[in-house]
Amino acid sequence: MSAEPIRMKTPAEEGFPAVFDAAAAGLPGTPDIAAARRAAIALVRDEGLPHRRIEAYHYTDLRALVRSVPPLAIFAADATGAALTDAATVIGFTNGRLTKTPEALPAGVILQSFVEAASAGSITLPTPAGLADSVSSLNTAFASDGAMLYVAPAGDAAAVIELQSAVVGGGQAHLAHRVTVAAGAKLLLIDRTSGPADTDYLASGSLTLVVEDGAEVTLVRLQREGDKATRFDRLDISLGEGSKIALHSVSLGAKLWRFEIGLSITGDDAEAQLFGAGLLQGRQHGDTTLFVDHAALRGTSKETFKSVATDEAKAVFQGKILVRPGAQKTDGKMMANALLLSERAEFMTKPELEIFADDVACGHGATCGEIDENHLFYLMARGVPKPVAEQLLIAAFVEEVFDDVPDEALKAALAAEVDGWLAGRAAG
Amino acid sequence: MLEIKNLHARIAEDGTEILNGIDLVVKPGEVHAIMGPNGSGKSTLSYVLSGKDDYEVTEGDILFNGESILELGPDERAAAGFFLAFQYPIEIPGVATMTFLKAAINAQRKARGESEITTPDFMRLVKETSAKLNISSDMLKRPLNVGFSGGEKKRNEIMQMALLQPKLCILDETDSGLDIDALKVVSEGVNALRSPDRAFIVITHYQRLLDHIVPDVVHVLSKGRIVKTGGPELALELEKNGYADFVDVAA
Repeated sequence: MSAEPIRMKTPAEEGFPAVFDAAAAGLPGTPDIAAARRAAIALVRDEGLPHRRIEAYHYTDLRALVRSVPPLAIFAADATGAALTDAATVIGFTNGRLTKTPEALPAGVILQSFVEAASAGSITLPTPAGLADSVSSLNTAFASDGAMLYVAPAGDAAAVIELQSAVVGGGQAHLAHRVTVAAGAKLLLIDRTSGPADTDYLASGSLTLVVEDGAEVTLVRLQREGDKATRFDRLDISLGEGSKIALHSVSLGAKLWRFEIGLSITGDDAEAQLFGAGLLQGRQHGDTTLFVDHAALRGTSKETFKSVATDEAKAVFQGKILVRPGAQKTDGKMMANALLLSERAEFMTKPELEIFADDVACGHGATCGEIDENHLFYLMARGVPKPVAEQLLIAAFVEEVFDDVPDEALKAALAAEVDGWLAGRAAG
Repeated sequence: MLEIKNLHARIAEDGTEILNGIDLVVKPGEVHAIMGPNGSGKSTLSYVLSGKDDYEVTEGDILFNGESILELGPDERAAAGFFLAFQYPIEIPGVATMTFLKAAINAQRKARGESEITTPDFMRLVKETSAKLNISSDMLKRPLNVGFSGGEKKRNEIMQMALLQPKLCILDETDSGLDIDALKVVSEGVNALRSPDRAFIVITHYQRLLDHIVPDVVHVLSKGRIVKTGGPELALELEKNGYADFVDVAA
């Protein structure tokens, strides 16, 4: 009989349970929720952090990448700002607490805070099964607030809501949001996270989005955490019959980030368009891990994820499409494209298809390349200097990700964020 | 204006020698046609003049207004007044035509120490210029050259030339892929730009283009060298007899 050799825990593996033990009494929730939190942290306590031998973390070894764990962030005054578009109502969180409650919500929208819901026992937290669920484990253990939104139908125009999460000073901040979009309702949701530069802090967010029959949701994400931050995100979407989701995600910040998406198509004739871009520089490590579960008839899912990596940055894309037995006429297409701007930048991708229905159209593709020399020469031959020409071409590569954003101001704001990143890169 | 002296160039990657001692002087206001069979080095000459780094100059020099441009990048040459109308204009998905045009105009103005063009002036300029070349506003809304027909791409090249007002225009087989009507539109666009202080180098296989853009001087290029120089009548002679006579002279 062979025994696992006793392994030394890393400071981060020691750190998470220690921070939890110190903070647990202050975290909101009923005894059931407290038990769920203890079960989640027990996983970290017993098994540590996921590493390269855990398939889901093969390219993102948290044991090696998470060096230390700060205490929970302390209360701070509201540090959230204006919305990306005037159309949006802002719900703001600072250091993991609700700090900005709107005076009025869009018609049809009901808001409850996570603290209220957890204290009333009206929600349950997910129970992670193993190391592959580490993002969920950490979020379940530490979630200190969030927005519980219910969106009822209210006319033709979509309700526009921006969730903002700011970190000031440092520490750890964890938010859990639940959004239910009722049958026939429309929502444009913006999820925006940021924090201080030059600060070693950690933030996580879980967003559970239930899109009921015939509802339509556009979700715009803008992640611009500070350059030394660690950011974990979990997005779970379930689609009811005839419903639609469009995701437009732009990730610019954090030294280390992982963005997990679980899309579950449970109703027939649902449509999902998922677009994401990760722009990585320095020694950033950005991981997008996607799982699309087709469990209904005639579901459509189109996923396009783009990575731009320069310096010594690493981009990871793992994507899996599962078509369950009986999910006939599924149309699933997954594409991962990477643009590498330096010799030492890396892109790692792992697409998977698992198909148990016989009348489906599913495909995946991946590309990885440099800026096209012919494109560059054409622009330069018209007098455009090389750095400007490169910026135009990189922006063109990324633009598809937010080209379909329905709000023009929001689209312009995302384009400006990308341009800012490009200008910073050219200057640096 | 342009003086090419004993220019030798090769493909950077594999060292294949393409240009083997070209001498050419182009004065302001002149139109020079360069003709020659496939593989004679015509397109290479246009790329070497424009500064494409796939090619290395191994000997000789290119002087523009008396100064060597060999050390200048393609963008700096463009700012100095060079313009290459591509044989195959590149499609660039995601880069809007108008964004590109404005970036190009402003980059050149900046390089010359001028202020940026205002948006109303830019819109007016593009509107006037595009109308003359039958370029629709729909084409201007599309990404650069994406989904354009061969003729539309060539008209787009000439529009850029008209907008940028270069000193030296190099037209690389601008007639290829054009039907008679498109050839006329493109030629008229080029002729409208002829002026005493602007010179043209027109590279072509066929005499046909030279009926519309009448050259002052015709050169025959073979195996990377100019083997014959004459007036417009030389083009007619080539059309009648083919290149064989001149290729033999070179050999």
